[in-house]
Amino acid sequence: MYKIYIVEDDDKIKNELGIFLSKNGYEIEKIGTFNNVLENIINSNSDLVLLDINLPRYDGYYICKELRKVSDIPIIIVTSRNSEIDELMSMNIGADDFITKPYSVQILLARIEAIFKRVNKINNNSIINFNGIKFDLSKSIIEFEKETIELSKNETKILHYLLKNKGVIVSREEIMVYLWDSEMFVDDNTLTVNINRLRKKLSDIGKKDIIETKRGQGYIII
Amino acid sequence: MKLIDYLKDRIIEILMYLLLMTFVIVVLKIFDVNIFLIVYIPIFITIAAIIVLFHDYFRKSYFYNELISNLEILDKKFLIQEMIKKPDFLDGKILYEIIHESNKSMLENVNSYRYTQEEFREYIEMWVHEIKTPISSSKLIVENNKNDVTSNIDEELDKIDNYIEQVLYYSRSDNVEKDYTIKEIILEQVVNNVILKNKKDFIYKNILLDIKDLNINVNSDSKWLEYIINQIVTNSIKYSKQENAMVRIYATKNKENVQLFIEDNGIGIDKKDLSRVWNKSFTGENGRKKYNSTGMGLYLCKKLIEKLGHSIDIDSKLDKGTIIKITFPIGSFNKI
Repeated sequence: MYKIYIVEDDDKIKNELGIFLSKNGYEIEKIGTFNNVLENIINSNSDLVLLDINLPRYDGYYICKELRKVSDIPIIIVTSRNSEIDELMSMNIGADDFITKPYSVQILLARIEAIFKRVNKINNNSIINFNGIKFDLSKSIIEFEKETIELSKNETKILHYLLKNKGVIVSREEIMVYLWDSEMFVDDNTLTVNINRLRKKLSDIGKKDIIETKRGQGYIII
Repeated sequence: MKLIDYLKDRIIEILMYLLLMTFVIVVLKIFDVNIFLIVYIPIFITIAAIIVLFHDYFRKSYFYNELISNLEILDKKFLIQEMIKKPDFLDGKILYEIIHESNKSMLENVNSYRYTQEEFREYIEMWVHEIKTPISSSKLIVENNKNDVTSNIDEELDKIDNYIEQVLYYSRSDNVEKDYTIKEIILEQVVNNVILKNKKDFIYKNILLDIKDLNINVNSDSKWLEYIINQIVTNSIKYSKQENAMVRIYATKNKENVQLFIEDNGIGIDKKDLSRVWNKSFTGENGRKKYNSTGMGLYLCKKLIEKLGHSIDIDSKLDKGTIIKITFPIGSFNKI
């Protein structure tokens, strides 16, 4: 499990962000006081830092710069300043990404995932086992009783999303929003095609009817 | 300054002089002075008087005529003070001092307004950043407590955020200082950000999105451009029809420029309104009918686009759709 360190002076944002990220499978540590930000971050042994710019004492830019001198921990700068200059500055002092408030949390999640993917080529959570099927996310492969088949990028995303919500009905719109967040702007027809192909591939390896259709509601994997 | 006007202005002195001359001639006559003196004394004195009069006329007319012609060619009349040479006659000197003083006081006055305006602008910038914190935390709270009610609130929060962005860019659009950064950016990235911002509208209103040929570099400020394109795309969504709505975004690279097209098949704009859509507070037929419109969106787009050195055009057919074209010139002019 990856650990994320949140540096943010607004208590509400800090707590809600903590709740949201823990819900999505991350371990969280939040900053308490701003006396020794640098030390606290380093001692926390985190895998990623979410860093606000407007902070008491030293601002986020300073902390980012100092942190870079001693550690190459991924840093995402989160700020309400949204000018080109702020973004350039963040990148110049060694931040890995820059996101402006108010952000869509889905996009924040996507950015975090992208960084982890980039940093660690071998992903521990990349294999999901469900209903006897082995689903390798990093290789986009499903496997059942020696039968393997490769999935397209969209099919992988769709299957992953259905599995994230295993046992819950997922609407077509929800799946589309999820795909769009990864900048894959599929329309209604494409989604139908993708789902049909995914189903066909599942039945090809001998697992028919894994994805159930709920009329007028969406899809579900039980 | 015309000679005749000058003489009219001096009429009392001239009359007094003539009176005095007549008096002198009469007195000389009474004392029966030599006829030679009676003729030549008045002639010499008159010549002297005319020289004095003309000397005065020429130096004044030289000063004032130059002043007037300078004033005429000046675009900003208040700069006249910079163009006056200090005159060598008394009333000119007084005038010079007065202009000098009044100019100084006007400058102070203008500066105090400029300062107040700049302070206000800084305050707005700060306020906008401050207000983003509670909006962010509200959106996080919504995310952590998802249901129909909070999703509803979330939509309203997005609207608030849009209005706040408008304030920010409005204050930036009027700023004399340059607070944008031109660098090479990929159109696709900017457009994708805009699409992501509006993804729910596209998906839930079932608007077909067609984007292609956007892997082209242009020189611009990505944040400003994102704001501008977002305005246009939200308009396309707002004025879309119920059935078969479509938004198409594509770009072409030409010899002298790159052109970005944003096309929709929405309700379109009436011909008589088309030329005025860039005007401030203009809402037109569409704005009046049923959509809440402030008439600020396109006005700001145009202003910001021009500041960045691009240009924007619109074409539309009522009931058929609208197409907006942004042109980015290529060349040394737009490079940093």
